Amino acid sequence: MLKEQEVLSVIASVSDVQLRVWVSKDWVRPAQDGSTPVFNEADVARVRLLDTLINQLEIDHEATPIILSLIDQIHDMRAQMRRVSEVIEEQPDDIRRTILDLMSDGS
Amino acid sequence: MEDPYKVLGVDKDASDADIKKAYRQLAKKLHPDLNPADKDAEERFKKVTVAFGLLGDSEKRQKFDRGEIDASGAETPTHQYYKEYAGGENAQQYRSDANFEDLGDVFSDLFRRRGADQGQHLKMRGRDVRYHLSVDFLEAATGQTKRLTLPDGSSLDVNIPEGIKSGQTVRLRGKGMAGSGGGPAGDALIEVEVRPHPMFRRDGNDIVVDLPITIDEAVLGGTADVPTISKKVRVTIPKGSSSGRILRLKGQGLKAQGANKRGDQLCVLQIALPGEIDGELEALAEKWREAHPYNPRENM
Repeated sequence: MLKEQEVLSVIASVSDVQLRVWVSKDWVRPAQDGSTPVFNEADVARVRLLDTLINQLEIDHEATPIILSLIDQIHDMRAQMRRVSEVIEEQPDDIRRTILDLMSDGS
Repeated sequence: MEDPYKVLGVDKDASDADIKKAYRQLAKKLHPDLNPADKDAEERFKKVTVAFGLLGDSEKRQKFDRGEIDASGAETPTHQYYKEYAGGENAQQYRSDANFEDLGDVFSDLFRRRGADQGQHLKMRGRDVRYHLSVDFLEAATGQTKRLTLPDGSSLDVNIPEGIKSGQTVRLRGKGMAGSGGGPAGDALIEVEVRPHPMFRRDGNDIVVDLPITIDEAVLGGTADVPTISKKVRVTIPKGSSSGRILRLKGQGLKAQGANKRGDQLCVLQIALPGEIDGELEALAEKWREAHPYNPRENM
């Protein structure tokens, strides 16, 4: 778990003001240890993502939460899809066959 | 892991030739065979050799400068992209609020299967959870307790305060995600949407209604029973009332939040003609206007 200063030293292209703004906008959600934000690995990766979107790709603040929301929704959907796929794989052959055949007919 | 540039004592933009020179000078100084008794020298010499092994090879140096390998020459882990963490136990705070229930039963069951937070070592306040609740105009006007059903099947009783505006949020302390390590639970934030009413409109803390009156009531005056958000009130229609005239019912509006004052109900008179204009009315109107012309549009 990293503190604010440590995150800033690992990701040099992000300023302390930026990081605080992004936390205040809930784009990165560090856990709170009392009043100190504490960043885990996923949070740090999130900060890198924001750095890419905002500093390198120059996406503005209006579009950023839309993009983050879409990314998060996609990840959730991928996880669900993976799970459905796992369940189908576990089925006996005839059921798997039936499902796969049905999926390749239609729209 | 020490910075190899620092170990060799050169700047990051030093040329390959400079790096070679720096290495040679340090190697000469620190070589164990030239300093047999100096234990430190041997340690430092090892470091210098390793550093030069990295920076002296131009391909390795470029990779290091780009961050693809670290000072020991090992590939830096690709655990830098957010997608590696998405959905994992360390990224629960980024789970989307997206609701997949419209995709069918299979998906709503999957969605409900949220893993509980792995306990972490630090004492942390749980996350706030956002909900949306739609209420009737009158429920919002008078205040109401509503039951909110949560995705996991449990329910929450929410007190909708009297006079709440559409878009305001009700905060229920401690009803969000559980905290960990003994930390407090987060809050439930319920955004309240107030559905419009076919008859009552809101203007600040006042209620506005259109009150239809007959032609004869407009001319002669009269009385009418008007509904308000709490009861029926009898109003007096003044003689000679045109459309747009406002009758104010004091104290029949909404309670200002946090105050004891109440707004008013404004009844906007609207002259309504009968559904069918019969011959008698027409004749009356024609006769009347000959003798009593007047121009309501003279100021336009």
